[in-house]
Amino acid sequence: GLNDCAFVVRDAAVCELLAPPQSDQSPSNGASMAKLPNDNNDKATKQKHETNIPNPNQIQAVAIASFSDNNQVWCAVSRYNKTLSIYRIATSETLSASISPMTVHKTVKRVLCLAFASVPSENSSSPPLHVVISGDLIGDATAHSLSDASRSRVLLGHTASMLTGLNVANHHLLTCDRDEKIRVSSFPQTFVIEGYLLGHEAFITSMDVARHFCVCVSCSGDATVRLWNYKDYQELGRFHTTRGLATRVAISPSGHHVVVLYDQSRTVDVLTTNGGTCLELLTSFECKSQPLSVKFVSDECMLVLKGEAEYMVEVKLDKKSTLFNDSRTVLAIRQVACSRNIVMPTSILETDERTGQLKLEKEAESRGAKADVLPWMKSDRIQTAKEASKRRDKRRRKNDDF
Amino acid sequence: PITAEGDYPQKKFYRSRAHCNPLSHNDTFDYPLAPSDIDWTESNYPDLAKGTVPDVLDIGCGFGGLTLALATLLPDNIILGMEIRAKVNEYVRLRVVASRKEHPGSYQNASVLRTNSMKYLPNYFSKQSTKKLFFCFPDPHFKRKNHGRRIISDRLLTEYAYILKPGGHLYCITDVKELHEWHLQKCDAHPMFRKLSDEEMSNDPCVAAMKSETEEGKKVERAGTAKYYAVYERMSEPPKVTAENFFIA
Repeated sequence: GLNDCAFVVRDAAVCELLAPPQSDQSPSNGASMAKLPNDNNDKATKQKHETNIPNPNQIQAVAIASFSDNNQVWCAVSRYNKTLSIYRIATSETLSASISPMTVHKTVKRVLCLAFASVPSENSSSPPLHVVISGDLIGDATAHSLSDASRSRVLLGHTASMLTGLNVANHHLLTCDRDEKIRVSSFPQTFVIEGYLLGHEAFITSMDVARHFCVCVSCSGDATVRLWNYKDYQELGRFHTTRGLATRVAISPSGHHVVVLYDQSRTVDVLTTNGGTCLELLTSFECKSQPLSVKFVSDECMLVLKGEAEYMVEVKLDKKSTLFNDSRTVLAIRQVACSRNIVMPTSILETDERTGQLKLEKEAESRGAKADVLPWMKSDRIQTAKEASKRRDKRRRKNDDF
Repeated sequence: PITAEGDYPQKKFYRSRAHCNPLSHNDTFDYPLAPSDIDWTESNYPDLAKGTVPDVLDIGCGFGGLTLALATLLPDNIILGMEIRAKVNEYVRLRVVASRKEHPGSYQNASVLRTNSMKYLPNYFSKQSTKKLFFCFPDPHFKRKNHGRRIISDRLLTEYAYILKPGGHLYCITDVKELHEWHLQKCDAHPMFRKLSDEEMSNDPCVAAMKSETEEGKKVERAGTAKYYAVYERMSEPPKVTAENFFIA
């Protein structure tokens, strides 16, 4: 997703995912040709708008998946106006210039993260049910049907919090929030909590999972990136960040490499897990514009979504160094984005306009009397109570005597 | 201080507003990062062995009537009352200290903690570590927009099922009929809880304690209105969820 336009790319073909129809929406047109499938192009980008009114179509999160039981690719895009659009693309056909959503869900709150999941059927011969799970501003994880716009169910909720990350991996649903917790629930029995990954000391900004090894990585406002085993609920490694607030992490499918993006910094850190035992800095690389999001395509190759002029780059990891590689996918996206003059945000984090504080941080405001004078330490209350009861007794005696 | 340590506190100095918003971020609480970081014997249960962990929780304990009654009723369990209001929490703490002084040897297994149990339960209690949870006369939050602040809700029941052992019990009592119907509806809908029958409830002495030992319960008794209560058991096996019942479950 780039600002308010979402695209899906197959090799060099770009198809625009149109926003659901609205009264104040201007018509948009897509771009380019059509070819063969390439599934791993999903990015998310959030915008912090300079003006007070954010664009209602501004993209909050995207997700893409293809399921083994049908020949289709599904995409989900959530926008600022609380719509969740689901698109279906057949893998056998050529990619058209733009497609409209197949199903549009109206969500209760703005959705910040998305993931696709499958629920197995009673008997192995029936097809499984595919759903998309959304994490929203109020801390709820909701499952939405792909075909029916009215079917949604709240699976679980982190009370009074915001879900900043959501992943489904081998019968587990991992959710992380701004209350420093990563919850591991069972899936699809989401009413069973398997455990918590506790240890972060501030809000968690991002989380990623290497599902084949039951390992996940998270970055947080406490200046650490941590590696966890979510089967044993153990912290495997910790890395202390020095370049500011870490906004995004991604872990390679084999679990060997972790990439960290920072807010207001164009340097990207690549860490190694040494086989899943620790987190150490391997190398770093500079980007020409602010990197906003990252995703591993394979063990050595990742895509980084960034600001203007380049929009997206592909980075190959070669031993301890990095190489920039402009594949056809990257060039296609760049061409479309440049031709549309898309303006990318400078930061993925949202700030409260009034206070200037990050929305992820909890406000701490002490109400009423200062905390250092606890109400039960004020002994003069005994004196006032004595005087009050003396007055009361006097009044009672006076009323009795009349 | 108004009350010296060891003296029985007077309620009139610790009165506090009955309602508060448990979802607000304005009150700051000190909470541990994980249950393994807490040493309960440091300030809560000073005379008990290291490694003691509470297994009976009185959530929203108010002025502490039930917490202290359970301490003598269940001498083999460790009782913890949880209260969000600072003044009331201090009252219960002083009451526990005074009771321990007055009856040496008893009440060592009772204590109180100031915390927001809607947000921080997983920070204090590990998986399946408690046997009983009590919710006595919780705040009804009558307005529909405040229903999300009720202490029994489907999201929180999942957390309660996490900290309860299989076979553990959840007790709730209220004098507001509408709230009781809400409790029944939410707990019946949650797949991890099973309602106990009237016969099973009558065999449990905690039910009688819940009805008569709380300050709120005594107030209701004086007013003469009815009390509605229910007990639920935490099941050991979760029911299966498949493609067919996913959106209905």
